[in-house]
Amino acid sequence: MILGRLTYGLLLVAVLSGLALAPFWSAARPLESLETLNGATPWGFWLRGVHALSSWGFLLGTLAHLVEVLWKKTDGRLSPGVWWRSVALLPVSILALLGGFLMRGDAEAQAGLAVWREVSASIPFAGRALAALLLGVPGSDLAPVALHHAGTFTLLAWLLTAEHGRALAPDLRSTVLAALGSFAAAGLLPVSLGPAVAPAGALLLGPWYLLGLQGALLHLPVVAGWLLPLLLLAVVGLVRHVDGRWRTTLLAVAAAWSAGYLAFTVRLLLAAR
Amino acid sequence: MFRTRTLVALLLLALAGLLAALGREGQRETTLGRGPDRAGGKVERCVTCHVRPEEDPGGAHARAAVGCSSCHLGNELAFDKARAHAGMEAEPGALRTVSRTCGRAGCHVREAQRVATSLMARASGIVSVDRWVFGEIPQPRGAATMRETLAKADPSPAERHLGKLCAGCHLHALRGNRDDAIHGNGSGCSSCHVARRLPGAVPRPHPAVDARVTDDRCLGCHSRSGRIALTYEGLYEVEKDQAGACGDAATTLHDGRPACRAEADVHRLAGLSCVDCHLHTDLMGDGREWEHEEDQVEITCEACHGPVRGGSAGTETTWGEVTDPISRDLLRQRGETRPPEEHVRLGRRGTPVWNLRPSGDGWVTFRKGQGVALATKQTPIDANHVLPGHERLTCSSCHAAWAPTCSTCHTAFDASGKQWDFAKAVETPGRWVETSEGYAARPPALAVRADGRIAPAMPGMVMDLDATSAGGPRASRRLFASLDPHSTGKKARSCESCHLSSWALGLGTGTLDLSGAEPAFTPPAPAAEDARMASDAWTHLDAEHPGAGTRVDLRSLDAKELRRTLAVGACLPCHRDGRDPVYRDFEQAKSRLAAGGTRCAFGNRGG
Amino acid sequence: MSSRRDFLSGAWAAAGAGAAVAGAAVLGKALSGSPEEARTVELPEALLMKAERDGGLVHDGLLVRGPATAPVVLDLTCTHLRCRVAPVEGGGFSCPCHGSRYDAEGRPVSGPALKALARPHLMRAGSGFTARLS
Repeated sequence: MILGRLTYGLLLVAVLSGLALAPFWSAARPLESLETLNGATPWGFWLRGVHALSSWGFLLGTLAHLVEVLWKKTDGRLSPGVWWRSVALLPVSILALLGGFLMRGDAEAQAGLAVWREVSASIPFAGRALAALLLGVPGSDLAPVALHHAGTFTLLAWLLTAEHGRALAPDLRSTVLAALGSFAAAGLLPVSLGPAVAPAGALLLGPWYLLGLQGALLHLPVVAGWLLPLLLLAVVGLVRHVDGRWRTTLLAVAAAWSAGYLAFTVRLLLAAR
Repeated sequence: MFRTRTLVALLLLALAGLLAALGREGQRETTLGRGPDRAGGKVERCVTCHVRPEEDPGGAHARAAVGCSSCHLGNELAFDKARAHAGMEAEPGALRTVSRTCGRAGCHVREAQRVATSLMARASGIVSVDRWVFGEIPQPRGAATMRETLAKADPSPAERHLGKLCAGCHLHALRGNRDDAIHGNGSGCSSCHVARRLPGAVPRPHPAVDARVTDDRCLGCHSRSGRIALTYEGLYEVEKDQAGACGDAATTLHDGRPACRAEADVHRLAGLSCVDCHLHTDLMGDGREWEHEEDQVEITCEACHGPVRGGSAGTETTWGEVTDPISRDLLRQRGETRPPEEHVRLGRRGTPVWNLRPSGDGWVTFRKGQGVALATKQTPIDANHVLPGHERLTCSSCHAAWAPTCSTCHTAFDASGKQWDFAKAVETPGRWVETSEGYAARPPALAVRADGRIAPAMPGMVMDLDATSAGGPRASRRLFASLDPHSTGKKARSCESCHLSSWALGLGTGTLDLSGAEPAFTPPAPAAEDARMASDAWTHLDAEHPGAGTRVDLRSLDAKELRRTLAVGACLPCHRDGRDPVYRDFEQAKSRLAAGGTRCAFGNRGG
Repeated sequence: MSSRRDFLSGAWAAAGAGAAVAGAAVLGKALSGSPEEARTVELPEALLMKAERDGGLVHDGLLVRGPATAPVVLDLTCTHLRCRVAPVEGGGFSCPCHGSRYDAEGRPVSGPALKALARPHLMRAGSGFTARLS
């Protein structure tokens, strides 16, 4: 399971580069501080690139590893508790990355914050409180978002990865490889920022991994924002408990879900053109 | 587990990445500006790079006060040039983005909204008259704008004519797609509010942005068609082969057209510029979508010089009653105040003429540019102004001294030629060719407007149109247009210049014979369509219907009006003065003469 | 023995769950009562006069127009998912999130938004007003 170990290494790189970025970011002036980091701080753009790309790498690695596990049917090796917690790593890492995206504070991030607040608020009973807890109340700065990005979700991601990988930290080789890969990517694929104000009439997209959900919200009611991901998680989680035709059926549902997600992504990209 | 080969490959990749990052870092270091990063109380990194003094428009829009992005958009937080310039508006004021630039919330929202409805932006008058002349619409009126016309996928012949000849002069025209006469002006708001870059002037990266609109900014567009800006300056355009005819008075216009000098408008001689008379509603509109220029323009001669027959009803109020916010803003910007009890004169729809102030018993006009005060004479209630029979005359019918005139225009479409197309912003096949047999400066003719008043008129479209190769008509048009030519003289035109002038009466060039019981007129060059009519005429003495104009119900004098006017002309050789007793009640004087109760030394003309 | 241990761990779990529910309920109550429910925005006279003079201005997410004595205020928050709408050429507003369009009066024209932009309740406050957003 090289992929899994490399992914763990990417998590460590993301955490360390994130710690290095912390002094440059301001909750009161997020975009301005990031522009300064990108444009006026020596090697700032690269440092930010390492953080962003290692995080993306971690998410992609997690996804790929999940597909690998389902494909090779190795999910049975994990106890049910560990399996469900490993499946939970997917939403946890997406929430961690989303926090980072929102911390950009540009027009896309501001819009994303508003949308996620409404999506969270649409969860019955606890929704409004959950939105306030995770995203802060409207009008507040991005400090709560940053806290959950660097604290809650990173810590959870680490705990779940450590339990899943049965190691407190990634091994040295994986870490070095992950670091080298991130360093290279940060030089070759600069990570930009969006404008502070959306151009008139423009349609904002949001982070690449949530394009499908954003596209779905063009047509579906806001509850789709949490119901659709929950549906996928339930389907994937249940795969561990069934065999034969049921397993195939559940995997087919997951594949159909992914195809639909892709279709919504394409739909959004077409609408934004 | 991990192979050495993988590690080496990754190390090489990391090296490449680091080298790329090193390159970017070096570039970032060298291109990073060294100026401040704040302007107008906010982060504005445009000024980090744009530090040169000549990049500052100064005044109310100074770089330090509003930064760059307030007008030019872009990304004011970014350091990187490409990102900072993303979404930038190179022509702030352009109506396509004006709601986010000049017209953004907190700046000039109201003005931007008004300008979008104004005739300078819509040009609906030009569109409707042109389409009517081409026979495409039944009346010279309509709401279609120039912008809509240019956007048509399948334009009609008139719309193609507009797109190639007229569409270079409206506020939607962008800098790279406009009439050569207005090169150097910005678009939209900037057409008037940004100092024009004159040919040969030392280039300044950023011109001044101000509310003190100088005449050179109006000249580009208004030196075309009715050519009021030229007339005001005392200039009239001539054809190239005519240039020598005016001798020492020959000159060249700002865009190279040959011209001759004539007498400038008396207001121009007093140093008044266009905006000293024209109100903000005349220029930027009042939010309503007027069809024609004369509907939108509010200023009248009477607003400054008082009503012809005295009194002040409807033309005057006190500042305490003024509600117009833009005039109040203009005063505030200039640090001027007006006591609530101070009297103020008004335009036709109640907009105050704020630079006209009472002084002693009279009024003074202040030049908006320099603040110089000019005594403003009030119309005397004398014999000339209360002359019976002249009730219908507008001020300009007597006071407009001359107008540029072209009575022989030919417009044809040459399908084999090429011409700039303002609809597409490129040269496209087909060319409209305009020729004439020469321009002249002549006293205006007289027209009757829809409201029944007499006003100056000039040949607006006395032309042959051949649009057959554009799918349009072949037609002859004999249309006069009525407008104030902007050639006001201190002295009014003479009585003879109307009552004894076949040209002024719309009969064209020829000989008038008033010796008989009925006036007679002989044109040396009769019109092709009617031998009784001169080729440059608008009507003739026996016309069943008066000549038509470029507006609904604008017409020449009819047969009865012509005879009434000429009857006075017959008396003028002896009774030269308006104060002459025969003019007190001309009809009675004629009756007396006809009844033999009095004697005419020149023969019996009472008829 | 084992049943006693089971009982004890069960009791601990129940107590823990109870404490968690109670804690969550209190936190939920505290967070739900956050100021977001009824935001107020002060519109002092100077601001209203500037809005009147300049033909409108945006203040704290509100578009303020009209005379200072009777301002017309529009909440520029999209009624779909509460993104900030932006003015578009030719009047009206568009939402950058899901493309909802509103006319100049804030009425929805197209896109997923179905309700008009909110008009906050205005209350006299000295020489100005207080806008109350619900």
